[in-house]
Amino acid sequence: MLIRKSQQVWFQEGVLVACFVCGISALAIYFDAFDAWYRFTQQHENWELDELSIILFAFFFACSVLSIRYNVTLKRLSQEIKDANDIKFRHEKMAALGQVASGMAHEINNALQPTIGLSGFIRKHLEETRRHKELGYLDTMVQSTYHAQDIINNVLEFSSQQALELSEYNPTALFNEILSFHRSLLPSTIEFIPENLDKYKNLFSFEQYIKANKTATSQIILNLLKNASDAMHGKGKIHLALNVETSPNYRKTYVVFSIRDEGVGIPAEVMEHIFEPFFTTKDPSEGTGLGLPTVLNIAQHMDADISITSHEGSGTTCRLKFPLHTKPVEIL
Amino acid sequence: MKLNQIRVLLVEDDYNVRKTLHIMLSEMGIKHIDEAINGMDALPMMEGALCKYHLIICDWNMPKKTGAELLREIRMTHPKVPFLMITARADQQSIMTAKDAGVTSYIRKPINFDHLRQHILSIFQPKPTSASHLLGKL
Repeated sequence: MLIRKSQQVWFQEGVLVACFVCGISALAIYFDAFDAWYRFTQQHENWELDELSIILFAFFFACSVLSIRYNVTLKRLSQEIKDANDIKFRHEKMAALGQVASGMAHEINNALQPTIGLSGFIRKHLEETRRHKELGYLDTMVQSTYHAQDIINNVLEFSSQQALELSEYNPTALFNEILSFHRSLLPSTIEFIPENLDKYKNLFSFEQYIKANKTATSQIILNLLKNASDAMHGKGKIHLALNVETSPNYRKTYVVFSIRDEGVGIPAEVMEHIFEPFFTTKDPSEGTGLGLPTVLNIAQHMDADISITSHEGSGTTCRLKFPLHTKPVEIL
Repeated sequence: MKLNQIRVLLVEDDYNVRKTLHIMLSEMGIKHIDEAINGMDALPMMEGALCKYHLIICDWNMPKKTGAELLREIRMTHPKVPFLMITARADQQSIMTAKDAGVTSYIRKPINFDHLRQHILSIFQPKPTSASHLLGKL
């Protein structure tokens, strides 16, 4: 749109009030109300009714402006509440799913114990009796069981309900440390373009901090960096930026760390499902489809949020959002 | 002490894991194996003037009474009985909790026969490097 959303709402409200006023005026004209008022003011000139008319007009004008403002604020507030509820609902859904997955994974893990634990005895016997064909079958069976265990471990990790230990960190320092740690894990054909991450021009003051778990944050960022790298087939620029955002009505401040790639982007139909467990567009051998759901689960345990925006053909941006805290300053 | 002389109490709620452990212990030569399917049943089996069991193998995560709770109760009356914990988790926090509760050693799932045998042997045939070094290894 050519004009901002808030201006659009004001415009809509203004049009509504204008229509209302025109309607009332039309009605007034129809019933000769203006003429009646004119005659009344002429009859009682000493009552200073002209001035009263102006004052009344100004009063009604002010009322309509205030009512427009009230409506605009109301709409914005309800939108914010809706957004907050959507996030809360998503969190709850993930938590419920996590519990189900965790319980099931635990039970299946136990059910795999006999196969993994006792196959050794059979293997020994087959080796001793030189039954190589059957040995091959047994190895295939046991290997697939280990594969099943890997899947389960991934699910357990993704659905982990364990509370994370959180510490206070300066955002610039933390993200710089994590990025330099992961730099070597990505191909050299990937270039990092940092923004606002300069440690000497630290965006944040001494009293400002985020509460995070370093290992968990590191895991999240590695996952997102890998996705960005894959989207560009291992070659290209990843834009990394740190910003501060404020939520207007609730007066909350957030630190947003964003990772933007210049890759192919994510089509709209896929975007709906990216946080769904087991959803993947990669080959089954390349991924379980648990990367993003796991990362979101970890983020939620740190009271952080992850959002992803993408346009097909022009890259994807992942935003990791942490609440920003300020230590009260001691007055010396 | 030889393995075929020791008496083991196995506390595990899952049938599959219990059966696997029972078979593995038998293969090692242990003849006397008693089973309890949860902590509540295990406790009366431990009671008596003399401790009947030389080794307790217990799952850490069980409904009703966890391995940790059972261990604490057993330690009140039998402070020295070796307690081998079986767990799916091996994070630092769980290990510290287990050590504090008085666990002798622990093994992770999936249970490996050789590991299990090594642990049990080191408990009953202590060498200068005792079983506690295995706590770090896993």
